[in-house]
Amino acid sequence: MTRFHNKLHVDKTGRELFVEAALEAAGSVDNGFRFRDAGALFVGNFTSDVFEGQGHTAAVMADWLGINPVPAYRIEDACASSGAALNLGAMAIASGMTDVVIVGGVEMMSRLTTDQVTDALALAADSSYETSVGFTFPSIYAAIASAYFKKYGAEWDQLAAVTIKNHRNGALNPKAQFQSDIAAIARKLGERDGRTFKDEIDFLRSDLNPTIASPLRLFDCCPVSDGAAAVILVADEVAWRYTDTPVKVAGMGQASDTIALHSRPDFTTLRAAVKASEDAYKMAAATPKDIQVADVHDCFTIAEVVATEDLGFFPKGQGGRAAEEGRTALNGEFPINPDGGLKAKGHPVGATGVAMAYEMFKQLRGQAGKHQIQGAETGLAHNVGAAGASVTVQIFRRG
Amino acid sequence: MSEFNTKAFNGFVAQGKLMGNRCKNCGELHIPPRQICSRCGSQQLEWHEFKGEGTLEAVTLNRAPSTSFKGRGPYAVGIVRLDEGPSISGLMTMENPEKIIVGTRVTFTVAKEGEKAILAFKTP
Repeated sequence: MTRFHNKLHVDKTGRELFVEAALEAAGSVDNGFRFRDAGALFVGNFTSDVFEGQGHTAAVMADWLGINPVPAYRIEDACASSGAALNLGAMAIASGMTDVVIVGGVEMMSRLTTDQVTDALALAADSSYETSVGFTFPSIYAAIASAYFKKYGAEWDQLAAVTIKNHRNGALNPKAQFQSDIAAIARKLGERDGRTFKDEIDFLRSDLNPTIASPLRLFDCCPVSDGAAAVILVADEVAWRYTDTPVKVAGMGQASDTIALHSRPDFTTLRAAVKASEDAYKMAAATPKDIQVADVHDCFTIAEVVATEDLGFFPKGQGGRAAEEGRTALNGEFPINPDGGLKAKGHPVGATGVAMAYEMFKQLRGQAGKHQIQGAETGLAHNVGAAGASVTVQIFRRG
Repeated sequence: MSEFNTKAFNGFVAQGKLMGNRCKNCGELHIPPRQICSRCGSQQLEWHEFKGEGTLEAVTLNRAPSTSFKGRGPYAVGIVRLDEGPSISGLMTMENPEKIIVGTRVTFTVAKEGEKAILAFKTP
């Protein structure tokens, strides 16, 4: 994957980012890999049409990889686009159509202003019945947080614990957009304004962390990012040609739910995440207790809290407290988002699902560097489209 | 074309009516109206007027609006569980929007954004 960032890539196009990510994937194959070995290409992308005025994204990427003629598919399930592309790539291999596919995702978001990005992302909500009355994505997740706080008596401090943890992890990840923990950010902004903060939470409670949509503040929201990620999927029978240490897709699931949040009976859970994970656990013959490392979709801090409950790591209403108690930290019982998550790593929306698979590949091969979870053999990726109208889950095992 | 569409729904909102539909087969209520019953799959549906009273189940004070709501400044937007069962998103038009909390009783109203009528709620 490329580094995720909002400034570094501003002079590049999506195709250039995608090729960069694919070259790294090919370069990581122990016995070598030629793009032309791929029998198909699956590209997750939300809206290059709006973000960079380029449609027909998969054909562009196939062309720039130099692999024509192959079936090249663009998958759009909002922010779960490349999680879905990964599942479809695995299905293409399982179908017998081909033994080798390239799966990736890309989004080039930073050319638009923040307002324009807010409008573009809102296309993934219900334009007739949600955005039409004033909802945006931050405010939809803020609404989820308000319902969650009321139902479980939770407080914003639990969300701040997620921010602090993910920034700490991001500081250890050279691919992350933000490689500073909150303490360092507080020091830097404090020096600028001639202020000091007692600790990280003191900074996060200050006016330097303004409310975006109550109760969510700026540091509860993932940033705008450019980036691409790519992985190579091959059939079990041919994996030996490429490497002695493959990572297996042991299970996968995907589910849909109502496009509008208001049409659901409970706003404190994403039913599609529960269903997709049930299917993935079943296929992998695994349970939540078997998961030693997970990347979950923390587009907003509340989303990580809800995800850790939906995936069965913690009981309902306990996810926030678990984060506060350090149970999701790198050395916790369920390390969540060791790469910094969407919050610190960045969220070029169409690239995120495959970037999670990239992280699991590194973790399960013991190549994650400073944010390595020692001895991890089973990992999980959870990728959410919009407010959970599409969710994908994969379970990976060291091969 | 089905009569249960967005245009009809918005037309009713503009007239101050909160109209959904009811499945004649299983009795399920929908708001907004749907073409196919979300519970039993029947296409035998009839209009149903909601009273417009309910309880706020999720709410936020949005300080980063989309472009089309920029003019409003910070505003509250939320999801109301109507007394009949289903819930719907709406703009909150009360004064002191920062004080609105989950659990508040609200009633349906119409807010204007230029010529456009927006589904909204106020405190009774």
